Amino acid sequence: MKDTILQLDNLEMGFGGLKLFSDINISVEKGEILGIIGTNGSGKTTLFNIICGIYTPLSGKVVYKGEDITGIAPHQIARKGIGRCFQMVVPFESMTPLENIKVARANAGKSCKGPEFSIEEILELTNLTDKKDITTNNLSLPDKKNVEIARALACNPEIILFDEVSCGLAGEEIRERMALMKKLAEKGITIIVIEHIMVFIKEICDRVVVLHAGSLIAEGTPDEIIHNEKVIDAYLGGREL
Amino acid sequence: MNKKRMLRAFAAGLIIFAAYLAYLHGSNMSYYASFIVYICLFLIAGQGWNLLGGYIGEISFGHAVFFGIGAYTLALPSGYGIDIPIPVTLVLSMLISGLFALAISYPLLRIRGLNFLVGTFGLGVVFLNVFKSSKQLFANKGVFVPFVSPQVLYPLIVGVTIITVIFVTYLVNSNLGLSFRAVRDVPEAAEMIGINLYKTKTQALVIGAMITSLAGFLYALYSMHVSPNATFDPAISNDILLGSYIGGCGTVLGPVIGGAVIIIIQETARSAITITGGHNLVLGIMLVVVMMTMKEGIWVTIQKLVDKLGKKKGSSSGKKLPKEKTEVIR
Ligand SMILES: Nc1ncnc2c1ncn2[C@@H]1O[C@H](COP(=O)(O)OP(=O)(O)OP(=O)(O)O)[C@@H](O)[C@H]1O
Ligand SMILES: [Mg+2]
Repeated sequence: MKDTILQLDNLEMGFGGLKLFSDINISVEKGEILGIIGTNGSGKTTLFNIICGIYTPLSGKVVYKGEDITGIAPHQIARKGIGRCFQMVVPFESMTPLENIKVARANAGKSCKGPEFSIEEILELTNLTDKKDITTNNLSLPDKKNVEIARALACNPEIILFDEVSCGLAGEEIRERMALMKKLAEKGITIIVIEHIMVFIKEICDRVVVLHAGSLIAEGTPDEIIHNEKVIDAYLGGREL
Repeated sequence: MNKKRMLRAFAAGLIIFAAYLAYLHGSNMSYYASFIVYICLFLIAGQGWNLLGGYIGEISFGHAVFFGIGAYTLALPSGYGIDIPIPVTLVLSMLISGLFALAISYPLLRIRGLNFLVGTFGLGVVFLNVFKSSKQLFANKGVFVPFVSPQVLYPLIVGVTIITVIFVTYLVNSNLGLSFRAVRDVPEAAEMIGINLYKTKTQALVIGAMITSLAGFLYALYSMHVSPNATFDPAISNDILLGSYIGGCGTVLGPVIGGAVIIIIQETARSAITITGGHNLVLGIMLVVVMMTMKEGIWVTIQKLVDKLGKKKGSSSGKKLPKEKTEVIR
């Protein structure tokens, strides 16, 4: 039985008269890992910004758990259970990882109803237990990314949006994150990932959508997507995946 | 047990310090007593400014308004011959200041950065001119405030100063204080964890305004006379802001150090330089020097130096990362 948690309905978006995309329809099932791929500048991050309420779409709506949340303030959306990790790594640098977690817990964490991890569990999952009291701006890039993931988890979200978390990381670190995401999905958190690394998509995603030149050009399992003619043509300019 | 002992030591220290001030006041060294009192006043006002200015990063150039509201809440009733007990006016001045901050937060906190700075500056100028020209508010000649004996006054000033510092230390380490810093660090990410930017800034402004009004209130009690030029002048806003800047924005000890440095420099320069306004020149040079050599203020620079030394020691003993907290007080 299908249990849709998030639905994007006919979204259309553009900036300053320039259209970015239109006719975007995506429905996300509870507990799945959905991948979004697409060329640079195709509007993946913009899609996240619309879901989070940072941008209002030109038309169309975002429905979360049956409620139309289009145009609602970002902090209210966060309190309803949508968490996020940014493409630009932006933990709260003046605070320690522990404080990053605490401040998230004290805000959205109070109202969100997703699976709850204790602070110790979050530190453990994100490999930050040893570093929990070091000011974040003294940490390495992978650790900073971990702090962001920890912060998102501390909100007890039902959905987490990951924007290129593996970008700039090395093999082992990417593996760790794939394992983490699988773990989160098992706990019942719905995950949407934007990724450029195909292995990542192939390994963890249940389903993938492809954004290209203003519309969704394909949707399916990772295997289907990799062998989809349109995707190979448009997205990779004919190169083999 | 330990806490009790600390509290007792604290109270004892307070009494001794206040007694010392009273002694200075009574002997022919009252100059030093006033010196310390002014440091305390700026320190309190600076803590109030720092909540919004340092922890959230929204720079106000109009905190003299809250300073003035505190002073005039005490002075106006006495100017009209109404006798209200001091504890009541103290609470009233904080309430009025807080409510006023709440009222102006609606337009002011919806603008940011430079616009906010200009807006608060304008507000200060408006207050100065209204109080200067309005007969009902005793205009330029100001109001006399009833005498309070030094035995009460000094402990009150020292006590309020210490309580303010303790309260702010507690506040900035609480969840609300963490939210302030989250908003300053990355506003967009703060929203993504459910923080209402506008409401959080309003909280910082209102609490800060109440603290700053305390400084104005104590100033009125101490100087026994309140006038627009001594309370609402933008120069006061300037000094409040400079204290935090020189000492270190967004740290509890910043305004403590900055307030002391400013008053000490201002007063020594005032007696050393006989040209009118010469002491302001010295203060200006001081600010430029601090901004050029340690952008984040004296206290943050000291913290970083200590950090560096600590790290060097750590690495020689084979440790890769410092395990201890890298910040002393934030
Ligand atoms: N606030 C904005 N104002 C104007 N243009 C914008 C704005 N935000 C995004 N854009 C434009 O929209 C387009 C899509 O940006 P977006 O960040 O969504 O792409 P993306 O798919 O995430 O790309 P990347 O893979 O590089 O992260 C870009 O051309 C960008 O310049
Ligand atoms: Mg992007």
